Amino acid sequence: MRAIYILCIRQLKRYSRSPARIVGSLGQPIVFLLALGFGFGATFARAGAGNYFNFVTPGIVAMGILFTAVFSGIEIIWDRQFGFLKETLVAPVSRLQIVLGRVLGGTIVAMMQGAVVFLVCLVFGFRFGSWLLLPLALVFMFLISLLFTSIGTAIGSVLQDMQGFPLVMNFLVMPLFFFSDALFPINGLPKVLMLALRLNPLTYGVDGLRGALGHAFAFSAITDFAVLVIASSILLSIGSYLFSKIQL
Amino acid sequence: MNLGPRKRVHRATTGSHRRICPKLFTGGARPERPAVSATRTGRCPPLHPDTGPAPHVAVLVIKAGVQFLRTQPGATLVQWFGVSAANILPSFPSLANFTTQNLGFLTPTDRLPRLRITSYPVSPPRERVGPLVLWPGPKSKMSDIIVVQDLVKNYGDFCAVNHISFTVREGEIFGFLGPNGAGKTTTIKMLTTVLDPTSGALRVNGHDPLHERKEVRRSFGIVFQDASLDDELTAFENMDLHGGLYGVARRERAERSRMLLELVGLWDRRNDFVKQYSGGMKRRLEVARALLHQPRILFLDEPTIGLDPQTRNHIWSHIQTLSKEQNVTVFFTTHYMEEADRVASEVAVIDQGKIVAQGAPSALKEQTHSATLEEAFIALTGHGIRDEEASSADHMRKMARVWGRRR
Repeated sequence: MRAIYILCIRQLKRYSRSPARIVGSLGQPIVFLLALGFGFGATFARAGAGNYFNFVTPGIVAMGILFTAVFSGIEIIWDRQFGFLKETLVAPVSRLQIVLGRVLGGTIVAMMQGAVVFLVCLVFGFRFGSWLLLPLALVFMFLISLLFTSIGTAIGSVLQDMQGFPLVMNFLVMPLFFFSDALFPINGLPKVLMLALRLNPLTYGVDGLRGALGHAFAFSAITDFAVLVIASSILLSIGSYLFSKIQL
Repeated sequence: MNLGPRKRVHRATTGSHRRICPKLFTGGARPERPAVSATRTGRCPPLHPDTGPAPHVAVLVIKAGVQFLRTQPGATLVQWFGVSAANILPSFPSLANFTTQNLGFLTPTDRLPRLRITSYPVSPPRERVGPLVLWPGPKSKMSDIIVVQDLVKNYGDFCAVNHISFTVREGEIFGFLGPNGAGKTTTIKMLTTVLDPTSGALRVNGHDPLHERKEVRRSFGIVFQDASLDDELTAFENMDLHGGLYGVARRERAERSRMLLELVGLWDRRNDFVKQYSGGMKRRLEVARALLHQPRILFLDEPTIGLDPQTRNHIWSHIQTLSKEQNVTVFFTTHYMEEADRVASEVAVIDQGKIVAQGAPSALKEQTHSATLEEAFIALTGHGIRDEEASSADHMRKMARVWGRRR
């Protein structure tokens, strides 16, 4: 437990000490929020689907979380190359504790980043359905963070260096984001796209978050929660296993 | 290692047997095959390739059982029933000529009151060389804190470490020398549990790095060839994090951190971020950190690489002081031969995965009729320049500069 706590604190320290990183990773979500949120607003309203800005905000928050979480996981590569990973691997601590500490730290960091994005959305005019559901929103933010930090950890354990990084960005993170319901509603999509969305765990994360922030659930809170918990457990197990196989 | 031939050969009792291989005594049930994972067939050539098949076949007879172990001639006994060669060989040096690489048809029984090993010549005269009772002696002598027996590491078809054996005595400053790519770092990685050997037996502070990782990890501190600090934490935070990971109590952690940081002259800079440190300061911090949890052994993989002579002398005097004061065995590698000559009480020279010489620096100089250890080193390893694969870390650093450490 001690090792988990220590490694978790380490990541929080690193996060809080690099304001450039916090601000820097806000850029992309804000661009999406402003361009899409206001750009599609009129069309969306004319189609009778309501306020697009309110609709897309949970998607943008999820986007902030997704990117930060995957990066937190992939930080293993940096630690591997800049040496700190060795320090943890020769310590008399089980690999499981190390990986749990890292994942938990990354999860909290991603949640905080999501919270910052959410604050920005509030500034630009997002309105809550009900403040009472905020804890539920936090639960979904936590699950999304956990899920994607686990994915990042699994990838970071396998990749040897940052050469594979564009691959991860273009073939994993971007498709995960665009083939989810972050930017558009799931109803009335072509069948193939619908299937892709249903297979993407982020869809359930965004849906849960959207529901908790005052929109209607496309699935249900229970479904979203269950899918996220199951997917996170599976990916966390895979991530832990792959991490335990790292040799220097 | 002291191969005092039959001194420690004694009869085994069933009781002490149980201590060694409990698996074999699981209530009379037929146990699984013995763990021979450490004897996977290596791609390295057998130990004595020139001499052809050795003329002996070793037969391990288990009295009161029906089991036989026929060993393939020409290589080395590494492990049998979880008893590592390091324990067997002192009691039975002649076994060094046999192998267990073909253990396929060994089927142990659940009752093994006594192991008996006999060595027969294959061809006539069928005269008996043995028999001897095979039994691991008491734990390898305390004075041998590191024991490496017939260690092999293959990467695909490339043999990085090729049947090496050596021991390091407690309290010694042991220099492990060799050209680039000779297998020094690979050996250290295997000793420090981060890399699994292809075959061979290891003992670090009496524990097996393959199976008793935690005990081994607790007993050593290490300074790696390249940096292993967290740049975005302060020096003190790095120390504290290390102490936490090693389970050093909070108060002791603070006290020892202070003591060690003062020793290496970094106490005044303890609250600076490590990224602001110079290369020498980082090294000193790493040495201090490696000693925080009071290890018995300190591994130093090229601790003075890329440092100016002042800093090098500084670091070595610290290491010598610390090893004396903290009673720590030091195992180091370096390319600076005059350093090794000055500080090491014993050196081993490894080249292309094999140990080519071992002894006190003076003995090596004498043996090669050289004036300096550097000449001796070149006499032993030749003038050729070695290739070393560019590590992915180098590519990575380039990338990092381009990316400006953005994540």
